[in-house]
Amino acid sequence: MAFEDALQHLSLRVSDRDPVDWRRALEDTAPAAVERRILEQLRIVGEIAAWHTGGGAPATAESTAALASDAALTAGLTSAVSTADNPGAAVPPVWGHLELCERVGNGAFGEVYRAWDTALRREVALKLLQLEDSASPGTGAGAALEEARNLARIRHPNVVQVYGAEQHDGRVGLWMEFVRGRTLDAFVREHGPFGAREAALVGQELCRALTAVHRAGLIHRDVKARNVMREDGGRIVLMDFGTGWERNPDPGTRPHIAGTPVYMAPEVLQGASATPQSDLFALGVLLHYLVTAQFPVEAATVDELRRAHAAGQVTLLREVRPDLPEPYLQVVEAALAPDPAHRFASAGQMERALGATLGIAPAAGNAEAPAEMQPAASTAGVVEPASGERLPRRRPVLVAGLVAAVVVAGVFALQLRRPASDTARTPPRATALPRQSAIPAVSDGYRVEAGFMRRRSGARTALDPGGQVAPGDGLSLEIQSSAPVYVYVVNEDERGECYLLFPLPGFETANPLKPDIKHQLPGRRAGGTLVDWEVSSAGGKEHLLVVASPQRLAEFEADLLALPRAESGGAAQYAQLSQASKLRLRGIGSLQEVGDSGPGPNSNGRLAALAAQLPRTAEVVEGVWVRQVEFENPVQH
Amino acid sequence: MDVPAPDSQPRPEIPDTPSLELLQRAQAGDPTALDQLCARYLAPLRRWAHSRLPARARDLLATDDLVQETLLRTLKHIDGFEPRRPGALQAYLRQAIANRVRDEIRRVARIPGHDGNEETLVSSDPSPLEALIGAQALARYESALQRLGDEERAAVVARVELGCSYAEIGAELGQRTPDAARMMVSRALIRLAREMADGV
Repeated sequence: MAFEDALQHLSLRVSDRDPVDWRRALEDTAPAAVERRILEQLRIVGEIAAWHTGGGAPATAESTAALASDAALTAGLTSAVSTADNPGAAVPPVWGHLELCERVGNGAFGEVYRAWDTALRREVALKLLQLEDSASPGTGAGAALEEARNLARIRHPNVVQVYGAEQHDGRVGLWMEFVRGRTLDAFVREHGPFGAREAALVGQELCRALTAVHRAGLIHRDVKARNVMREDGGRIVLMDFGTGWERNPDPGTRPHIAGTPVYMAPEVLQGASATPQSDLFALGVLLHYLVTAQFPVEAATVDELRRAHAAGQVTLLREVRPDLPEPYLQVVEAALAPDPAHRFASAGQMERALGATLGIAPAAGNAEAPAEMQPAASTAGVVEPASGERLPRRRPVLVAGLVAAVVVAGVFALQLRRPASDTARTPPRATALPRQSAIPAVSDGYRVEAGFMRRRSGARTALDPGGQVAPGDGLSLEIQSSAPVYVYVVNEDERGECYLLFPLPGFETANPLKPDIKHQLPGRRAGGTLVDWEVSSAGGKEHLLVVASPQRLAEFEADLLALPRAESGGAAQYAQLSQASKLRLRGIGSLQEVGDSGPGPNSNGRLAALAAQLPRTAEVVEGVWVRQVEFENPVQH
Repeated sequence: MDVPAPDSQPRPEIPDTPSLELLQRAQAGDPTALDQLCARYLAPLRRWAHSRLPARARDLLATDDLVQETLLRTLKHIDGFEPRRPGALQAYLRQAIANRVRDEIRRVARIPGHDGNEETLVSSDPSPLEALIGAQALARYESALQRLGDEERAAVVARVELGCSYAEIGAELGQRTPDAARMMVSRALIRLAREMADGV
């Protein structure tokens, strides 16, 4: 290709934000020195464009990496993302009900697009699969749709949410939440290895993700740094189940080897079926990689990798990073045990062991913890601290605050599980708690300042407790803390219907919130749009509960996440209703009539007993901070 | 209560109306035109501000609030603005935000406990974009950008920095079709790369 033609082709790709294999472009074009300089500058312009477009991601390959599977032995060293093999590939404008905005990557599996879901009006990632011969095992439209069905079973904040899958125009595609952020691999390559605490926190989130995956009867099979995104805002998201495999395949079906070899457990490399323990092995490799930027076993080929495992040529983490805390070293070594029987019995057990790294003890007397989550230190080689042994002394104020928060969570969970009519008649009983909560380590005191804001007719003003709201108003919470905090916001209406208002999936604004910055909740969607909570109906009062904690309240959060969430589609539904209907409805999520019986029993006296009123002045607190606020929401005549 | 009530439509509209026409309508008191301008420019200007602010300043400022506030204020008081070249409005808005950022950095520098050295705050702390491609490369880009013609510069900034669609660029720069705008951007990028290469 003549240089001028190549230059035009490349400039169009840069302009279209398509990925470019610059090394290959240089090789194919074989330019003179001056021409090489021009291409180099065009590459820089492409990086600038990618930075602006991606909201921080340095290159298109960044987001693609999270979705692309590759078989590179050393993930991160080989770019699997290039469209150079397919120059000029046109971006189809629509696929089903999705409008394609831009291609963000491709690979052997097909392409990934940023797309717009015209039905639900939200940004999604569309993975259009390049299907192989449908007669091959594990391929073809049926297998792809099966994959999507499996993925849609899993709903967990640390697992990418799959929305659906269909076949259009001869191509199978599955669409999922569009996660804006960077892969852990990119973080390590750009910023160097993590510290043990940071890696342990990430590891805990991935353990929770794997617990959800395994409980759904699935094996991930490709846990690796390039398949984990740190979303803008901090959420850790496990991506790409493209090689997922049912836990119980048909008898006699030999599983194909899929995944990234350097992360594979030795038994899988030898042809055994993947298991939850092989996923935990991969997580062990990931935790090793995060703190070293190296892999425990390096090899040039899969055969070499097998031989290295067989010969025990594994680099122990303590040899590379003897400075790390002993609990972290033990967790990684246990996860990487050659015999799967010697690894953790479950992801939950591994999460608990990582907690020791962070100085967080497991919950005492956690009656609901499944047996598989009980410590198995004797086999895993991890020594858990005796209860309270390594914990700072718990302060009464923390326990009181935490118990209050957990009781409130129990109230909400109970209401959710009860039929609406029952809920309306019977006040919730705080004694019927679904579970106990882990008590996190006490933190030092921190300062919190929070207040609600109301947006009406474009004007945004402070809304004091007891203030008045009306349908159409936008509400937001401004909150600032001197320490990183996990914040949870719940709305309860007069009927006792509860909705989780924060955190919400698909939002850039996510826990933990950074310190010393005034955050506006619910915050910003992936894609940058700032949103408010919308008051969608009238009649009675709106009660809001705000909880903040310097440490993640995992089980409390699990209860909260079980609550129905306000959905973006609700606004559209609401807009279609007549004014008379709007006044008779409570909560777009449920669309249930209030009737003429007046407000139901007020369960909020319980909340009032548990939580102080929200002041607008800064407070210095320790442990968990729980506040409630109430707004008047009268029917407008 | 329901989520969300967007500040702006979550998906930027594909405009049929050129920005300058919207501006004229907004100046004449049309609130719809003002809303459309906000919707068109808010997201790209936020991205632009995020990429250009020094990291330390971004920690100190609520960048998004700052951009939103500045954009609204600027558009509401834009009566005296007379665009004299293509892309003038976007350049004007970027300058307004840059000025606001500078003011904010000065304000932060005056906070007790801060070292008070504005230059240190600004110059010793690279923006994310500088950190990515290097200060020299960014300077080369900026310098080459200034040597382009007005339309070329506006096309590059709109596409590369503001992430505008080809339809938006066409509306802004008088191209009849998105494809014509795409080719215009492509030609401008080639010219820019050549200018940058001259500076190496």
